[in-house]
Amino acid sequence: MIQRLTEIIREHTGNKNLTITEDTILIADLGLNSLDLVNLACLVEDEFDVEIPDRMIKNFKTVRDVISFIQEQ
Amino acid sequence: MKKRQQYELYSHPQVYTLKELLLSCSERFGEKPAFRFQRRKSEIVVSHLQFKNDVMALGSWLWKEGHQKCHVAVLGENSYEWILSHFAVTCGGSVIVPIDKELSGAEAVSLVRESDSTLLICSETYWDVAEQIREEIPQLTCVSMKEIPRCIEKGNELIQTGYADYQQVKISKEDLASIVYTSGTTGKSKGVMLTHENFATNSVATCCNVMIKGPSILLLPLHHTFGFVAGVTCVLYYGYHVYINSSLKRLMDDFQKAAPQHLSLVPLILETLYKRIWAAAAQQGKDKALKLLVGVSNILLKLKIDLRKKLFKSVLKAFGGNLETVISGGAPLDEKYVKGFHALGITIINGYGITECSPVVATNRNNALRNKTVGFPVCCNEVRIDQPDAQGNGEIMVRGSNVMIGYYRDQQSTDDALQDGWFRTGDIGRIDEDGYLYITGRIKNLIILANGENISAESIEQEVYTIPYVKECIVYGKEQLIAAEVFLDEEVPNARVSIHADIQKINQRLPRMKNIGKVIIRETEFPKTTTKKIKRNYGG
Repeated sequence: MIQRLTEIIREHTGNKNLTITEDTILIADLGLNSLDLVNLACLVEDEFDVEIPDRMIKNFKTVRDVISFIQEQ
Repeated sequence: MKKRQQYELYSHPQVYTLKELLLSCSERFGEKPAFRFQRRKSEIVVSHLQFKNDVMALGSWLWKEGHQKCHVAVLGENSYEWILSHFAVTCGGSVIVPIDKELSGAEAVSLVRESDSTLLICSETYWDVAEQIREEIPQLTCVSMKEIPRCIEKGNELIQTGYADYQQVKISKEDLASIVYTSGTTGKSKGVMLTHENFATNSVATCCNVMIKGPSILLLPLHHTFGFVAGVTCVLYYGYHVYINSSLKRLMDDFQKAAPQHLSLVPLILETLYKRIWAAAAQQGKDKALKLLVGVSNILLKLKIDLRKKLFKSVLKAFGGNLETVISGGAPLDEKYVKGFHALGITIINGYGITECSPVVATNRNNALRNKTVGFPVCCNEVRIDQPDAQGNGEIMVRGSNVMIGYYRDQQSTDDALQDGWFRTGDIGRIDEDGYLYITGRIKNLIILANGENISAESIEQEVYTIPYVKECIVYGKEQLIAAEVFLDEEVPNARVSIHADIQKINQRLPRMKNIGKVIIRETEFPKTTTKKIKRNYGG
């Protein structure tokens, strides 16, 4: 799953060499803003066929949070 | 003062209360659409007349249920029901208290309590927060927005049987309409008391400065006055409709459905949209061609030949094809985006506002734009610069019918902010010889994020100071992130390493919008004032 997420984030940020771990912090490490997170959520929804409520997006602080959410679905 | 670029204000009928504004729109625009939004899979269109009727019905139901002359909190994502609740409450002489949906349950409880709200209107999405609030405040009545259609039905039945108590309520311009909570410099929220006159005259005055020629999409949160006034009341007052976007996830789809002519946005959204245009062009291998086309178009513009609508048709199509103007406010917007959008055929109208002024203080004008400025003061207020320095920079002071009457139950803060009828904005600026206002700095220790969110620096610093080896700290905004600059106790082993992990622990307990994105470790103490306080303007 981390590989698929890495691809999505690389595509979103345009940085093909990005290295991502579960501890990567979305805002501080990747420099994403709140609107980027919304876009990322849309990409995750498409890729993993899940629905992410708007309220949930603000709880995504690390890559681990995103993975946990997908797994819970 | 000479004002070369100023031209006659756009003309509109004057109103002094939100009820007058509602009735004026209903009378003048009748069956023209006022709102469009998606409900499940279908689109709902509400006319100006229908909106007025819905307000009267919901208001009558609330009145009959005993919610008269009270304070009513509203919590939820942007929706027709949210806007309807605002008008139904205020047009009956009660006071609306918008609650930021991003707040934690505990913070929402605190605001509902502090504002003396006796009723909460809440969307289904946030119903768990409503329950949490009701647990803490058992006497609070909660109404779900899902129930509003049924309440309107009952209100209409009341009206049909001759019940007119609500509709006959006289609203004075001095009546309190809303208490809007805003970040205080010490981290404690302050309740800004805004009257009907504040909202109504600010809406009309903003319309006098800025021409709107078509529909808009509401993207800004309604609990911010900028979202409510620039995003809703101004568009309605021009007789156009507001397409309500309920989630930014659907933004690009909504552009296609709504095909807006006009938007009100904060820099964060504008910057992201601009970057997306170029990222999309790059993905298709068309970025070089687009750059070339922009260059050619700019040369043609200098020769007074404007082909932007044709040349950038495919770019503009992503925004629905009709977008012409965007009011930008809430935070400073980098000039490169103003120029970048202009080159593509979209005019950015920079403005300046503050919640305490309902909020619009100044805007550029469609045909008198000046880069790096926030334009001319709107006609409902005067602006002066207090104690200007040699360059003319000083604190921006505002006086007018849009200035709040004070902070709710906070006389000290009110006295500090309002002096001899002038509101001290805490922002530094200057006015040039043509009357344009420039914002050049801040006095208050607020971090203004690109999404317009105001964050108290002290509230985050307090958290950082809980790390025992942090000797000194200031927090400020840097490159769209919140930066914490720290001076550490070097006698503590590994302080330079563990600071990063300790900051992340703080981030975990802070709301995301307050997360520290950058840690800067100082080698020396901060420069101090004579009273040994850290010089704040050192940072940033």
